[in-house]
Amino acid sequence: MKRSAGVSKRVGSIKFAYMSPEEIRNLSATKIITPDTYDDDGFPIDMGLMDTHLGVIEPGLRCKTCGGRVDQCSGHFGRIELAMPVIHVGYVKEIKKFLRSTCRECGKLLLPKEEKEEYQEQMDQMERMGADSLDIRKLAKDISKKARRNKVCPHCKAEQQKIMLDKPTTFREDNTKLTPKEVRSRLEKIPDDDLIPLGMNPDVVRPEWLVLSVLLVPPVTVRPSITLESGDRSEDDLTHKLVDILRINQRLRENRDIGSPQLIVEDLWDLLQYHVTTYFDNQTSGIPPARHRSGRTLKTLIQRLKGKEGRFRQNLSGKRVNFSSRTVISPDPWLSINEVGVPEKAARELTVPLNVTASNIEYVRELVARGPEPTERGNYIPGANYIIRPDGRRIRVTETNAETVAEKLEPGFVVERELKDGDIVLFNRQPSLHKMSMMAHEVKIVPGKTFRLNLAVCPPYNADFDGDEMNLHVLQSEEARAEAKVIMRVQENILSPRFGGPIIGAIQDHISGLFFLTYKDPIFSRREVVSIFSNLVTDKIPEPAEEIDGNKYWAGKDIFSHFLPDDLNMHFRASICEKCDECIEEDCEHDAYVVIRDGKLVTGTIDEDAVGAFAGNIVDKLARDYGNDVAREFIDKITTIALGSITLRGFTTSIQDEDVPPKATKQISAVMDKAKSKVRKLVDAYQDGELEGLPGRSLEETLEVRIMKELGKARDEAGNIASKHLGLGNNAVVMARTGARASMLNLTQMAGSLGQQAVRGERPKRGYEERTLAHFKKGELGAESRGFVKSSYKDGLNPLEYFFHSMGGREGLVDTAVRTSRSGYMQRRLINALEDLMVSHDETVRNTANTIIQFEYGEDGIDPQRSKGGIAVDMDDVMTEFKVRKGGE
Amino acid sequence: MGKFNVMKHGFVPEHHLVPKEEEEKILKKLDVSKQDLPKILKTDPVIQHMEKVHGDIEEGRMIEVIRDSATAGMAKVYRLVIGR
Repeated sequence: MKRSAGVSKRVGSIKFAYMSPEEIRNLSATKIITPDTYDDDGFPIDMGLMDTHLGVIEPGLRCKTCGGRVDQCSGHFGRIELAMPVIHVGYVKEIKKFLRSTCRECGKLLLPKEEKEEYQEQMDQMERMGADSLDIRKLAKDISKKARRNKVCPHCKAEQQKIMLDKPTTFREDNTKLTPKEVRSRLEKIPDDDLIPLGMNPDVVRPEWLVLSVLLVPPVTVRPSITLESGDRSEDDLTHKLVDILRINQRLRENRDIGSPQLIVEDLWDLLQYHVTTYFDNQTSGIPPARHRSGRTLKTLIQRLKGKEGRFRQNLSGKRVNFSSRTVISPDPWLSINEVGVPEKAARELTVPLNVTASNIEYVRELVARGPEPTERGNYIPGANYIIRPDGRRIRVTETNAETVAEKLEPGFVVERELKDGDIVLFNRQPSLHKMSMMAHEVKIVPGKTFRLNLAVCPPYNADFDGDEMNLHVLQSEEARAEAKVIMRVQENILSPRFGGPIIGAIQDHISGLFFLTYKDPIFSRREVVSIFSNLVTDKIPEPAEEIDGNKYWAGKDIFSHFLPDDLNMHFRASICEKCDECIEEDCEHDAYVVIRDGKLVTGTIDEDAVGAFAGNIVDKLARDYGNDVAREFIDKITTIALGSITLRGFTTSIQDEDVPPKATKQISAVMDKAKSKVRKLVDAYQDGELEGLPGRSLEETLEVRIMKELGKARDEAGNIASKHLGLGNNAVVMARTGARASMLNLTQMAGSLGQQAVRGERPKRGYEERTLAHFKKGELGAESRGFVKSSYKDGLNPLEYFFHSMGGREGLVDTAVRTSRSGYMQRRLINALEDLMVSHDETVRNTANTIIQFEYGEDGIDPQRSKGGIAVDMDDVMTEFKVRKGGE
Repeated sequence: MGKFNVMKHGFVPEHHLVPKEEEEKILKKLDVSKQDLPKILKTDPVIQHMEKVHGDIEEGRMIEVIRDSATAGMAKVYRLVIGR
């Protein structure tokens, strides 16, 4: 595959060099001398910073250089002739290199002639061979280092002195200050030939250019002033800085010319140096940043480019876009997972371009004639906001001109139509950590002011509704819409390439609802079934399972089976599985072994492991074997049914769900006391020197390990006692066991005991001298003194326990805060490094230079989205299918 | 202390020198020019060691590396020997 096809021109090379004073003078449109900007009438002053030679920013004026108006002239550079030269902060390192490796008297490189020529040759060769610029720089550095070691010039025998750099811009030689002028004259003395070994090409650059004698002034368009409402002008930070430079420059020139005392001249010179330095970089270490009158630090040249808010990351790598909108999200269980609810207000602003052709002109005419805010019997219908003529002129469609504009339409026009149901849009929630953070949805216009989304798509976006906002982008071309529909639609992303399983599926109440529908196969009366199905208008109610006393009854498992394909065969353990020592599979007394035979749920309970996001086996199998359409329909329907089921039963939880009988409380208390006394014994044994060390651990570590083990055991035991009294008749337990929300650990912490608190993975140990709190004796090692919390959340914590719990809690908080920022940065680096990789047609992974990174994608050529948990073939599933097929024959 | 043999280190995968006659075939299979291959330095300890067996390995020769892979169990990759 030839990647270069279609590329008409290639950049051969880019060369960077410094600007000579000559070049600056030639480039500049005018010399700037006065620090004033505008005169009393508000016109730019000649040879001032806003001189119209530098371009114009006000409408009506013309540029004196090119004659262009505001939108025609992009501006021209000017210059400030500095009274005395100053050092350029950006090049101090280079200047230091040159000063140190050349003679202070004759300016020659401090190396014998032969050696110099040898290096010269080496450099030439590298240049010819097209060596990496980094390698060239490294060689230059090595040469400079070598030259620096010669204390006596090999050419004129002059003794060399040590040159020091006082950050940021002052050079010292043997404790006497070198003025920029002296620096410049030394650099001037370096012969052209000696520059080559130091990595400078004398054909393009001379080292003395690194000391500024002329300062380039950017065009006004780069630093526009703004006029406030009050009529006052407010200048750009760069202009402020240039004003400072001009003022001091002028004073310096005057003082120098009238022959003021050396001291005064030098002070002004230093001040000029300061202003020029901060003009380039206002965060130079070692000098105070220049400030605005209000105390705000000025944003000068480097600050404009650098960092997250700098030109590159803010304006070049990423840009603001049109046809997008952002608002709060809220849930809507009646939408399909493929849909997104767009409020009318947003839909009126967002448009899709329609090309007017002979075949659609009638429709488009009618659309435009409706005007910008049409309704039909009070309901939203799309109108048109703009029409674009073939010559590119845009005409706004208004209530008044709609009819006349519609008449003018002809093939070749473009009409910007407002959103309507079924349009394809992209929907996105930051942080966009994986490809499912931006998916394509179909528009559904809804009332209100929020975007609506189905609850099953919360997991891929990691969204909730506590105030989250999301962005929506309207696609503008047919190609984009087609591509988005095929590869970005929600249903195409049910299976995640992150772990080879479903990332979209039932969550929270969906799971609880399906549990109540299917656990131990309850039966429902006609009224109840109608209620469950009431939100699913498209489906007929299945056949009843039995008839008692003339009344028909439906089985919960039959209701669920109604949504399964007829030939589906599966078996797996549900989330509520108790992990018995021996699994009796179909005969499971807990109804935890799911068996689906020919599309019928025979046994087992539907919970997280069947339909949940991240874990749902059925969703996984449907998406894989029956296609995304089937999987999407399944998710849409069963979530609706689940809500019907849970609404019918009613569902709530409170702290009373963690109530345990007094007998159990006593048992827990006994377990705690026993554990504490065991810890005491361990501590005693340790103090008496009777404790035996575990292999590879010190005595102290052994004690810690054994105490942790003992106390961990105590908490688990308390949890077991508590959960023995909490069965599936308890809503909190239902949620924990089915995987809908929370975990058994959360419940035991409420009902039983909080257990050991940890700081950095250990028992808390710091605080006061040899103890954690002033309430303990020095050196105390018992359970209570090292952060063991015996109480439960329901009991309440005593003050000491509360303190230890806060220590653990705080650590968790700090960790998440630190982790997100650090992993974010790591991800940024990773993406920047990998962004140009792609899988080519021959399944090799290559970068843009077409060199091979991997010979086969992932070394196994497996698409993780189509894998089962990262493994190419699910053998268990293949075997099940095989057995079913064989049995059927 | 005896001389350390990098080839015997657990982290160093199997390396083989690709016979010159086979290079063409492999490159054709991969549909790449030699320069597109990942590189290995001639000064790499592994190459230095291989030179003891095969004699001088000049720049431009290909090396076959067979290494463990988390996904595929075993992966075959190729390197191009280059100088500094």
